Amino acid sequence: MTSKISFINLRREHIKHRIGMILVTFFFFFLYMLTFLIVVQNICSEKDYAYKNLDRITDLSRPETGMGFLAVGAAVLLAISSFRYLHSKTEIDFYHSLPIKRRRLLYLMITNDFVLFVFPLVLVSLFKCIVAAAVGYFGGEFFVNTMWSILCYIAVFAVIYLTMSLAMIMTGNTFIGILGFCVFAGYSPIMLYWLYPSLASTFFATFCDTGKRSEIFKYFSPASLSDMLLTSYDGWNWKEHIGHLAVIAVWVAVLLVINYLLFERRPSEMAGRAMAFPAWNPIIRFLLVIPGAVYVGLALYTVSFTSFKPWIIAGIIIGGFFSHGVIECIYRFDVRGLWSNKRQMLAAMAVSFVIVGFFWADLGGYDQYLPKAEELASIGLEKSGGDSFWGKERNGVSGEAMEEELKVLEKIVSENNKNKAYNNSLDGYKGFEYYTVRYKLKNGNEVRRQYLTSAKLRDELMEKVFDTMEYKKDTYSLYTADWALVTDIKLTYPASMQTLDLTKEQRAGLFRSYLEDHSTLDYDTVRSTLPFGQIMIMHNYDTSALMEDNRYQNIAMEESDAYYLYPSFKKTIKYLKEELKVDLNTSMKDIQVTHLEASRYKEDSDTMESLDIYDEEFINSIKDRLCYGEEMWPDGIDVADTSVDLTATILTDTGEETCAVYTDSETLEKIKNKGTFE
Amino acid sequence: MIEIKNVSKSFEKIEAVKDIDLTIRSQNIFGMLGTNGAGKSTLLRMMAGILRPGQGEIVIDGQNVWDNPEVKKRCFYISDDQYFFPNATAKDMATFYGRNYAKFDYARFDELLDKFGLEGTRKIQTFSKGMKKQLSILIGLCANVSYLFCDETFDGLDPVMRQGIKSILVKEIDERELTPIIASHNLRELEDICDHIGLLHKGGVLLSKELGDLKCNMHKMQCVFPEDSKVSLYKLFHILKLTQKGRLITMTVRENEEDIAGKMEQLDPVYYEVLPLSLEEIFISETEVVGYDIKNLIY
Repeated sequence: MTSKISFINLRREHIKHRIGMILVTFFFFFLYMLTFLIVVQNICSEKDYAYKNLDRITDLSRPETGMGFLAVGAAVLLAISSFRYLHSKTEIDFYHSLPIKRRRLLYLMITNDFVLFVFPLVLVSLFKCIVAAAVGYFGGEFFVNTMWSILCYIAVFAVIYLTMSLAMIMTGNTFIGILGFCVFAGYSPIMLYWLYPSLASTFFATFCDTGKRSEIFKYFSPASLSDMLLTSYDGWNWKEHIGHLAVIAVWVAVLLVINYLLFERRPSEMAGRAMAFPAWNPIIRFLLVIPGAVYVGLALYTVSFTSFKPWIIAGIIIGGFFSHGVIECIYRFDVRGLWSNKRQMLAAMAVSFVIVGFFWADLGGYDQYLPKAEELASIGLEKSGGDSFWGKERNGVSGEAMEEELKVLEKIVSENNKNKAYNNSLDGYKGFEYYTVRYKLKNGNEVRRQYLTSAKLRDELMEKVFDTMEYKKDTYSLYTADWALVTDIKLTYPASMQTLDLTKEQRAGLFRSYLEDHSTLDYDTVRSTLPFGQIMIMHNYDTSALMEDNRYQNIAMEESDAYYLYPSFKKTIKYLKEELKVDLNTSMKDIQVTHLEASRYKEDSDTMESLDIYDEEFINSIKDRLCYGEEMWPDGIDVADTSVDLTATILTDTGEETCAVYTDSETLEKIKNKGTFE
Repeated sequence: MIEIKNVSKSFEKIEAVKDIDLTIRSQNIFGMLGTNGAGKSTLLRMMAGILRPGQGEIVIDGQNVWDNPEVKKRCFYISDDQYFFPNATAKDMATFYGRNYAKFDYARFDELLDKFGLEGTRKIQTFSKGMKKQLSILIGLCANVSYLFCDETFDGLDPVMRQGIKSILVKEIDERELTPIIASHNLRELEDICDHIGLLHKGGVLLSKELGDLKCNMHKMQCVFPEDSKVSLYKLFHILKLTQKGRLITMTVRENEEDIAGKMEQLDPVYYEVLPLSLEEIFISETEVVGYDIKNLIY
């Protein structure tokens, strides 16, 4: 055995010959130190926000992605530089003829590389503590965060380093090794993660992409694991990430064992070849060709606007052939590899066809899914694009209303595919609406589907649920939202749009009045009455609720939510007029309209034709049927007739103004009959 | 002693070394000859513990060499294209090897550097190919190991250097237990230094013999017989090759000189002459027997 002293000598000797890597690593750490220093200086120079300095500087001690990237870069570079010798016949002869056991050589390389990363990392962390102390913001939290940061960066370094080294051990060429690392890093969180939603969205008419996927895929990649460990929406917190650290620790242990076993068994003669363990080539190829073929099939289908499904078949054949061929070419370093192992290529294609066929024929009955009433706890309903819910929770509709709702949903399910095909064949809006249905099962699971409903079935559905408070609380965020999230309120009513500057109490008063009115609103009113105005509520999101629902990334931090004002909302109108002193018009009746212009596109033409009406008597007779502003679609129901654009010229204190107005079909017909469009 | 026991090695479908059984005695210079692709380098790399035999084992001084530092401490492999660290000097490399070979003789290394005119502090990347070769041999010698595996080591050295290195090798064998195993195509280089020759062809060993025995047991013979004589030469001699031009018969036979003389006396030839074979001629004759014939390459 090599003695302990000579092993230390060996370590020293090994490090001595890696000066280039040492310099590169230290240079990047040095840049990081400089950046930290500049950021601290900038924070301290902002006198207006001095009270936030402690928090802001303490935040700098938390684990973050910038340093994470550095750890990833260092891990990749160090692993490549250490294991690159395996890819050179000259170097492998040199190293493997030395009287060192292979496992000791591996241990030497890994520990040296860890030293090369950890030593400057500790130095930088120490430097950060010194700088924070020098500006007077060093404290217990800073220290604890720094320790967590060191641990996290070492974890990221370890998992990336060992993955890169595994890729280098498994291959015989550095470029192929880097490709191998990319496959390890991306296979699970990209190829597998997107496979199901890609197929489901292509073949299932009712597929509802909630963005909530099996997170397990992210745990099978060092890159996504590192990303999860370091990414935090609201300040890094160890409780949130301890699970990720534990998974990384398991991965590191597994990778160490695999690295050790493979390093010992790796044939030295594989230097310069593509793969070091040719027996695994078919398995690796299979795992890559199958999703590759499926993705190419889906890609061809997607780019063909005709949505011609045979493109998928063509894509699988083309994708299977080329992905198999390219991998073979890489394996052999020979372009003629494109034609080799045809049986395996055909087998991979066959599996791809089976997978696609399963989705194509919907053998799992995805689109026909409808739970039994006795399995259901509740049913939630969302309009398409209804992702802007900012209330506390959605529980859905339960009880008798749910059972009634389920009966209508049965009809919707049965005609969904037909509706979808019909809707796709039409240009423009033809009364179909998308609804996302959340089936909450008694066993705790939730199943989501998206249906395209006709106006008739939509009305039938709404008749069953709209009048229930469960539906209203589920749909209108204001019922359950934290009103402290509201940032602004804009009020629109005939001939005016204004921002309400309200106290907290006034705001609460307005919301309470509105919700009292709204809770009595029935679906018949919504379907038949034009709202005269709206309250636009600007608000932030409760990030913790969003994270639980996995919607965080899809939503901007500030959004607006429209609440329509109906003539029947007496309490709201009274509150606005009496408490908030808003000079509120609830119709155009009291506004002087001097001119009405109706315009539309000529049939089969891009040019407009218009009709001007100056008849004061006529205008006054229909004025109370006109609504001010852009068209409003309460609950997705088009109460107004928008086949013609209407513009009214009104007299105000400051003179004449033009504004957009809209009306119902009956009134619009009267306007059209008033003259001819020119 | 190195014992190669039923060793085979394949590179995927290519069988580089096939069922080799060979014993190399200590303190002998073993010359490993072979046709191109015969498996010389593969066998040497297996002996150095770089490659793992696909089948069989290589035992050095009673221990398997594979991943065995105790054995590898006694071996040094000089590749045909030796690796040196980028920007390293000769002395840097000596220091590195010194960390790995406990008996590395730094004083002798300095002395040999001086003798060979190599600068110890000059970057090796500025050395010529021959100088690099010299350096790798010097390092191998100074590692003070028992077994030196040399792969095409003398290629690229000028005649003076070649002779110098050979002298050092012989001296080392005299002074301490050194067993150089030299793989080469250059038969003339091996002829005047090797004690034992192993001839490899297509992954197998054609022959393994002491050089002296090899030379004594194989001769070229020219003879002329009377016109009316009907001599069955194939029955009498172990003929490797026979050509006839007119009445002049030229034969390569696997016989010693005394046996040839005895048999020829019985045949009563008009004329005969026995000529010693060079190693190169032995190589060609032996490989011709198994079909590695120059005529096959040309015609």
